[in-house]
Amino acid sequence: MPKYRVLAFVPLMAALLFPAAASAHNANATISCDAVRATYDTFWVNFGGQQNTVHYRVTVDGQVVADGTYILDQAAGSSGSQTLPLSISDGKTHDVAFYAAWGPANGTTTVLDDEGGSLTTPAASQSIMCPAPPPPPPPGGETPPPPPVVGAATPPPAAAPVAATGPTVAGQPVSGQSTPKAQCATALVRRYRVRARQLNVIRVRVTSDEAGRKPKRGATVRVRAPGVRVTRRTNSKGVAVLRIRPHRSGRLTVTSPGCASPTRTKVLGQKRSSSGRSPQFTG
Amino acid sequence: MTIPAHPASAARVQRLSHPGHLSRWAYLEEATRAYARPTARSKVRAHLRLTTNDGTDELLFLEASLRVAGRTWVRVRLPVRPTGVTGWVPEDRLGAFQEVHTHLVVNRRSLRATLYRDGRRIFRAPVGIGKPGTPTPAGRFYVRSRLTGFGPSSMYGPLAFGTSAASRVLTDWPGGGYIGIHGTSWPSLVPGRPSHGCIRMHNADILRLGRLMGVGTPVTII
Repeated sequence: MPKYRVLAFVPLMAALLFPAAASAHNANATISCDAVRATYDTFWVNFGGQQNTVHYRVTVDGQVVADGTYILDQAAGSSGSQTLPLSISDGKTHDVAFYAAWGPANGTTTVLDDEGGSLTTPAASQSIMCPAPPPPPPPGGETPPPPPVVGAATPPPAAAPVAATGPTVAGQPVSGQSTPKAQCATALVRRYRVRARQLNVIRVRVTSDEAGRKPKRGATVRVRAPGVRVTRRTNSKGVAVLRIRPHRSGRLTVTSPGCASPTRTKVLGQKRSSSGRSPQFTG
Repeated sequence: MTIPAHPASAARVQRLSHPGHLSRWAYLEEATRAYARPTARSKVRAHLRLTTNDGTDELLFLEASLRVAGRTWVRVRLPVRPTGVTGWVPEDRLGAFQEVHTHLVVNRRSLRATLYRDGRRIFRAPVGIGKPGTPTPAGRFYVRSRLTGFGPSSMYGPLAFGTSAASRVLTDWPGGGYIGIHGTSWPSLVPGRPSHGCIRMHNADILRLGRLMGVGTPVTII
């Protein structure tokens, strides 16, 4: 009988110390029109405090709409769950895929440098068809918080994913949710030739619908250029007027909190009205 | 005043400058033609280049704007002969509109230059103007360039402003015979009528004017 007790104790200790050995590390997700709910479980546990970090990614029709890292924070770091908001509501069918990968080769830290998952083969995928959008919220004077994003009809460019590090700030998780992407857009009212050392009046239009037809009133517009940091709010027509005088040539960037990718234009070099050349006037 | 004859079109002319209060000017961003009327089918008044003979970038004083057939035209003072002429250029050939609040008035009779800013006189100085054989032209012009660094011993003094005015007599002068506002190496001739058309000031006065007046300032010679 004592022999049987010892035999039973060995696998019990192994399961406690190395729970992942009992079953494979796992990442999975359920996909719906409003969110991707990801779960991670049976990761290694290090009682010294090392954490398991997962690199996750969500694509809609092949376009990256969420990309970041998530630190497993449940069951002593062996499991975790996060909700990645989606907003697909155009009545069309879209292919949503969830990827997760971890380990040094995937740019994350894990207990015992454990590798797993894939950013090319989805952990979960689904074709979904979502109904038409709900009525928009009433316009307010304040800029609304960024809505949970990522409409499939307005996917961000692949070169500019939601956020390079997702929901983490300085390596620490903010929450179990990714940074949402907005449904508004900024655009210059017309093409401007912005020059350094000159007064440049630029008008920025902020729209809150995908087609760019609905002006967003009271939205904050930020313009950055060499030597310039200006913030204005849009008027009732969704237009902000900014008077800027960049110090030198470079790039001008227009952003609005919660909006999609920033609008950029070039700041040209300054024109010269003075010269050291000897005059040729009539004298 | 070169605006379309139709009253409805004339009503849409937007004045851009009120000399002495708020005036606008702009750099030329693309070489273009200036037309007698706000249409590319009208007579060409001037072929405008991007740089001046002094090596500075060309700038134009803006008087009014008008939208015709979906395109905005701007009436500008032209730095060409006949001196003081205006023409229409497409707005998209111009850079961002710049603003000045100054206005320089040169009185050939009293031999004085007066600078106004926002309607207030802020500067006054005696001037030397053109002699009877080479008179300083009257009209409405603007400051086109600012030249400095060529030494106070120069006949132009320590600082010179180029204007859009050109001599009506010295048409073959090097550089086009443009009228400048500058200092002098013969201060005893100011005030007076000693020049070939340029407006001379004492060196201290031109330096003070240089601190108060920028390019694009309208210049009225009466």
